[in-house]
Amino acid sequence: MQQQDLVVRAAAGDRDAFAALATSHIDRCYALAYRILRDQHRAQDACQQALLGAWRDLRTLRDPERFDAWLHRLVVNACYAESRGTQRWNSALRVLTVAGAFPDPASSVVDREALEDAFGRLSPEHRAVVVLHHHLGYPLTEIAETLGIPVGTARSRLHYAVRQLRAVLDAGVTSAATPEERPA
Amino acid sequence: MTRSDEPLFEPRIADWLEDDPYTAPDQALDVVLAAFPSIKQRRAWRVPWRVPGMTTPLRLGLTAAAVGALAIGSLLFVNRGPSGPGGPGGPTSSATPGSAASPSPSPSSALLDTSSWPTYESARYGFSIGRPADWTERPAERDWTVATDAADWLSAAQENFIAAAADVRVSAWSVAVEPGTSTQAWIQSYCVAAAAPGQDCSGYQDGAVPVAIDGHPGVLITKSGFDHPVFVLNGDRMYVVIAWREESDSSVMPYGGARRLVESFLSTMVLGAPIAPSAQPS
Repeated sequence: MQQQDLVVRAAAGDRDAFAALATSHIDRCYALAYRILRDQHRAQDACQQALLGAWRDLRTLRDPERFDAWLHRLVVNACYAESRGTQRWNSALRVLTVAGAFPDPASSVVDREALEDAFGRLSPEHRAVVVLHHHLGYPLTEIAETLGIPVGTARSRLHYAVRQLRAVLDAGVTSAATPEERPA
Repeated sequence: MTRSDEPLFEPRIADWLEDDPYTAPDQALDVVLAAFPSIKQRRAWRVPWRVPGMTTPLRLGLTAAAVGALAIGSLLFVNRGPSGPGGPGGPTSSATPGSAASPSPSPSSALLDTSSWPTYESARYGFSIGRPADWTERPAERDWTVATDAADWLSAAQENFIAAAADVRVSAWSVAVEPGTSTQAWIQSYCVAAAAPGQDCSGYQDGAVPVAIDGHPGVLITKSGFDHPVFVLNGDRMYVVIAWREESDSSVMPYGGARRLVESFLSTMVLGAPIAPSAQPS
């Protein structure tokens, strides 16, 4: 059965149809949420909230063909809510706990730490645009449509975010992380 | 460390994101599959206002109710004295929570205590409104239009107020209307724009009750199973406030139901602030 049929049936209250939709989309929801929130537990919460919200509000979706974009929007909004709940995004200095997981040279690992740190300094709204563009490959028009913002806003957020990432990396902000915070 | 001004900086972002996990923990799906069957699906509120089929007695009844609401609102306005809020072009000021009179001629019950509610000023849409202290504000990012936003309850063009648990949202906005447009006609066009395929605009009047915002008469939809929108036409602008929940939804129980919640918002609302010139008739 095609996704569009599942969406129509789920909107009509068919639980099996929605279970199929949830099963096929949960990994993508989680991947998106994780990349925005940088935390597996909060990503899981956001993903669950988005899917439960999708069931609750599916009848408000006018065009079943837009289900993917609509669901992505619910995920992003759930991420915003998660971020508001903790407000950790602008202060936490995240630490990679995956030492050795990357087969890259040491300098690349440092770059990844720097990116993690710089990304953690962005607002959820800026992170979302970066992830939609650089991970999902959305063009600005689709980002704008997905998030319900003007294209110009999407463009300026992406521009600002990338500029901030560059600035933080160039400034070597990762040096702010204490040795105790770094993985062994 | 590699300099970030290299040409491949943006691809590095994509590469970095590629290394994040792609698979949700099994528990995530288990939780969703276990929880969703107990959640009641929200009906699209696209409520109908059957203008052509509206009966004369109903039309007369609503007109009388609106006149009554206007009279009550005017009386309350007068009683508030010169420091009270004005109409279009009047003083805009100080929406002191609790200073605005209860607007509804037939409130569902005693309203929430709004005395501690912070006031949000919407320069974009020309009103002020209170919201519970632990709610968050999400200001509108652009002007609302029927064509772009009517079908989108999560529209970023709305002034959004979100409960601490993020399970209840109240939205408010205003939009310029063409001169001579009636409340009923505008809601009809709104309904048509918002309706999902297969939905029509019949039966809306069943849940319409007269209310007022800041002394200006309007209607509140209280139809069972639908969200709670309020429409108030003031001058050349339509003001809309919606509690995006049905009356019996568990998320609004702490507030005594969706109607009481939205009426409490209305009681703090003051119209008449200057509108940015960018808003065009919709």
